[in-house]
Amino acid sequence: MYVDDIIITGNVSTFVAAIINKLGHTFSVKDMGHLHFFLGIEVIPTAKGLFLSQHKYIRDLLSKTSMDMTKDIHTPMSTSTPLLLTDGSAPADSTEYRRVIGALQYLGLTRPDIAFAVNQLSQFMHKPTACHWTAAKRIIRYLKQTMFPGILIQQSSPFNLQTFVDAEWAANTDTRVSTTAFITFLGSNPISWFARKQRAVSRYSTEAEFRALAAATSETVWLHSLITELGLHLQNPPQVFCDNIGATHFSLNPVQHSHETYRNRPSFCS
Amino acid sequence: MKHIEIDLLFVRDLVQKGRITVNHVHTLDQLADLLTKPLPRHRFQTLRSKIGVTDGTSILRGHIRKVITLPQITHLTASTPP
Repeated sequence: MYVDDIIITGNVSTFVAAIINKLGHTFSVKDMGHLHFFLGIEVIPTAKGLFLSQHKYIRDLLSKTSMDMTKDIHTPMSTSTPLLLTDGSAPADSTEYRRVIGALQYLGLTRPDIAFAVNQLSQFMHKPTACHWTAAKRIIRYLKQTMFPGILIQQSSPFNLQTFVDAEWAANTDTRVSTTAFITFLGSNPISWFARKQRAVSRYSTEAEFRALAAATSETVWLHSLITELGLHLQNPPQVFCDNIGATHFSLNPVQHSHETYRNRPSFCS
Repeated sequence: MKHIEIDLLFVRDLVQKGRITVNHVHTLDQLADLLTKPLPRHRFQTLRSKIGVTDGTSILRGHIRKVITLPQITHLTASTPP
């Protein structure tokens, strides 16, 4: 038997009821009523919109992971200790490490603030060390102190799509691989985010920026097509924001681009 | 063709067709910064609230848990016959 959870929403309640009724002809359906919990995410209606929270999931994670919680932690990751594949510390229990990182990855559904830290730690799943474990525990401590933040999906916000994209060149100390990061907002609501290492080494920071820009653009265009498919229309074309002046300039000015490529070509052939 | 050129043409093509716009944002307003590197406390907390991570303490306590008329959202559990 295969069981699946579905959310059905609409402005007209008779229409929603008709859909449920139709589904009932083909499948064995149980109507759970108004949405409260979905895939471990609590959904709370407020005056401003829907609040999504995984605080119960955090509580479960804390109860399963015994540790000293006395230390005050305000960020999920240390700025001073870069993580290395081989750092000289003792190997950690990889089964436990994978369990915790897996749980943290799931938390990323409502917590973009830990996305970067969790992605970094997930790169050591195959061979975790004591240092990696310490870093994982720091995220859990951070969550213990910040159990209640979540995402508020607001009704009243401008209907446009904005993506902020950034790359960290050669971010990985072991492999010199860069990181792509972007976050997309529908109005003021964050709806998609991404923090991951790039698939190949970029020899120049501009190359890393472009990889990131292309990935973010691709996701944004896809989200736009999804919105269109749902019969909705954006007020303006989607906007992509980057802080790399070169990258912005290239996209807007094809003439300038051809010069740049020509000038840089010998270095790309190295 | 090198990857960088493909990436470039892909984005430029969409810009020229008017499907997207690419804009410059000041480094301080770069919201994706939170997803690229570990940040010091102040910057981290500023960006965290800017990207829409909202403190739900009061909501979860139920103080302002007013159920208002939202579009009906229904949760279904569907299963196919064995």
